[in-house]
Amino acid sequence: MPPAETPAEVTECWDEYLASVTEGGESSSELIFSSLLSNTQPQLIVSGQHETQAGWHFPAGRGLAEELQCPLWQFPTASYYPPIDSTVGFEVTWRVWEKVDESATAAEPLPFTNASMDFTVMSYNILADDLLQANQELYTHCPLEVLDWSYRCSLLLEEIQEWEPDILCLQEVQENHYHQQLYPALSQMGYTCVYKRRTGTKRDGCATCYRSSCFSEVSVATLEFFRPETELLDRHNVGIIVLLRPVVMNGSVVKAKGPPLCVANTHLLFNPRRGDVKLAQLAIMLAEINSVIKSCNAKGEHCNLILCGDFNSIPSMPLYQLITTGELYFQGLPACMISGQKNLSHRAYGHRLCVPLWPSSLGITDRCQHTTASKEESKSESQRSGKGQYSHDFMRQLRFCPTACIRPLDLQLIPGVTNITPDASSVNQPDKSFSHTISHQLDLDRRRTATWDPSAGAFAIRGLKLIGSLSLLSEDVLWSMKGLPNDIFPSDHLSLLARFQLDLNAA
Amino acid sequence: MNNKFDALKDDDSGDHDQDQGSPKDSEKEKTEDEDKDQNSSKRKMVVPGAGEHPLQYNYTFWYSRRTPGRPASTQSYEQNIKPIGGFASVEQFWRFYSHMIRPGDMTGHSDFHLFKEGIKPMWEDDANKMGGKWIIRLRKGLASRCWENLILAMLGEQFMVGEEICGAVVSVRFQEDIISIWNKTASDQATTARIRDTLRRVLNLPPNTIMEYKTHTDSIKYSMGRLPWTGEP
Repeated sequence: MPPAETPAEVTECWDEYLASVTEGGESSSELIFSSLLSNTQPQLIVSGQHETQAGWHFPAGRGLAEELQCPLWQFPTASYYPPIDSTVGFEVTWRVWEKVDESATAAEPLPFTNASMDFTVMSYNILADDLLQANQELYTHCPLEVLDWSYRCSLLLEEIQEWEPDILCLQEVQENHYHQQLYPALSQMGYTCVYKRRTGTKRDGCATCYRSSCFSEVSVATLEFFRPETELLDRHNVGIIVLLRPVVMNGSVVKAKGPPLCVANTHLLFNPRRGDVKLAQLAIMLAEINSVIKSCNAKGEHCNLILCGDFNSIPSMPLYQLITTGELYFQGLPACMISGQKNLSHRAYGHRLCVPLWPSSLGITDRCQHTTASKEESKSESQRSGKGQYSHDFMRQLRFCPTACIRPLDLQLIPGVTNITPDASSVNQPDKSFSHTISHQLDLDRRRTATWDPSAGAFAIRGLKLIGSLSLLSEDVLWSMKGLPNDIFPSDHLSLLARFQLDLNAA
Repeated sequence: MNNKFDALKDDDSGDHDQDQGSPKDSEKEKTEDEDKDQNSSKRKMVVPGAGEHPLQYNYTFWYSRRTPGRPASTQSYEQNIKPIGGFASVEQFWRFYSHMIRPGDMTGHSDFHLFKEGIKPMWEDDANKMGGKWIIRLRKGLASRCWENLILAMLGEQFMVGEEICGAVVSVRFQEDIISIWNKTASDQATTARIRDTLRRVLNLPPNTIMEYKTHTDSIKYSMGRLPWTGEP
């Protein structure tokens, strides 16, 4: 049953998370940790395919239960950690760079020759102060001082300074804090910043920042997922897509320019029960990215893609599967199982997804492309080949075009055979064009397994290669630090950091 | 040559792929009639309208139905198979298609044929005589969707076998429906394999779907050598 049918139920059932629980929060502190490492962890998904699976930095340690029985648990021996460089006093270095498993690259020798550029990308949900204040019950395990914004802000800036990401995708950036502290500080550190506040009353939003010495801006698009004309899209989430061109400078002289790099950043709806909304928001994002990439392709350029964000979803679950495999058969899936944030199977009697996932008025196809874009694409495809080739999708779009609705004069009238009246409103249309599977054609990592692991590397087919990522911290370690935020890590999320190599010849 | 079309008229036992032959005893009548048709359509010249999406080939829809209860011999060919209309663009295709009943809604012993302009849906046509067809039998309920997918693939040039494709047929029968696609050169195995693979893909057929290739010469021989009421082996 579509949620739209009964307004009473909408209020009762569908909005319950809006009232008391805000984005990023769970209803008990116990759950924070399960969300910490996986559920609402910002994710960084890179374009390309890869065959590697790197392990966790820390060996599988004791589980949470064991830890609680053993409160005096010590840190693992120093051998787990790199020798601490005395010149680096900052303790986030407990997290270490891990190289992508080289054995995986051996099978696929890299085409890179001379001109390449290394860069790092950080994705980070920094926990907006407003949301922290509104959900204080989630942070009762924290000493008050670590919750203080100015303290958290200085830790955050230190952490950014420590890792010096070349591209920074932030979520939960509160508008006033952005303007007063983050933007001035980041500008001084050499970043150019794009900010997009959420629509609605919440003051936080996303920020995408890039080092001006490494990238020049080609274009910027900010996205609002709130669409008043579409009932499904009544939530105030946003996204940013920047198209960058890598620049290698030698002094003030431009040494090389690379192929365009599309960097997308978003924070999808939190509400674990509204997988349908999350998917529609993601579809808008993917359609927009598709347009950006197609515009590059139209100029004969290959465009690499990095998709960052807090997707409020865990690995192996449907939403994540759509991103990484490019396809999701959604018919009949309970909306509350899309993100897998928590086990809501006892409520699985609730809303199940059905065709169409979003109305055609949204202008986005089940292939997560703008309707116009897919038309144009098919058109240009057929024109390019010059062989009258058309896809099923393309031909079906013309099914009820004005010409097709006029009875052909030369059509013989055979009662019961050729006396049918075309009916665009019949069950066949317009939603016949929306299949039971949504998909996208973006070149995103297609092989992720159940355990989300940022160090599971990803390789682009062309031009972009993942060479390393920053290790996460185990649940044990985080518990021993009294959870998050703490006096080292300023948010209730960890930052994610990955290092890439870009082939500058691949343009 | 035998009259294959008549041969199946008394056969209601699930016969499905003998219907496309032409009866010699009414050949003359048919030819005259078709000449008329051809002349009139030549005068009209089916061309894509302004701004429409041209197809690589022009096509003609045909319809045939076995009239129940009448002795086969009295049925002339054109009572059984008639051209419904021709088109040259995607838009014009939908014009015809949208005003026609879906195969799944048809009753009785009926067929739609969609062939390239100038190729008759008959084994004897020059384009068909060395050819054959892939046949897929469908349980009831699938014909409309499969037929649409099949002809869209054909019109959209998705088979990628050059000029090999001749046309497609959907046959509604008592307990099952049959769709088939005809090509020019039955002996060209690369082509027939490619057509088979494309069919599997565009029809989204279950892996265990049985697909059968039949050359038209076999169909003719077979039809000649059997009694009209025996049905399919």
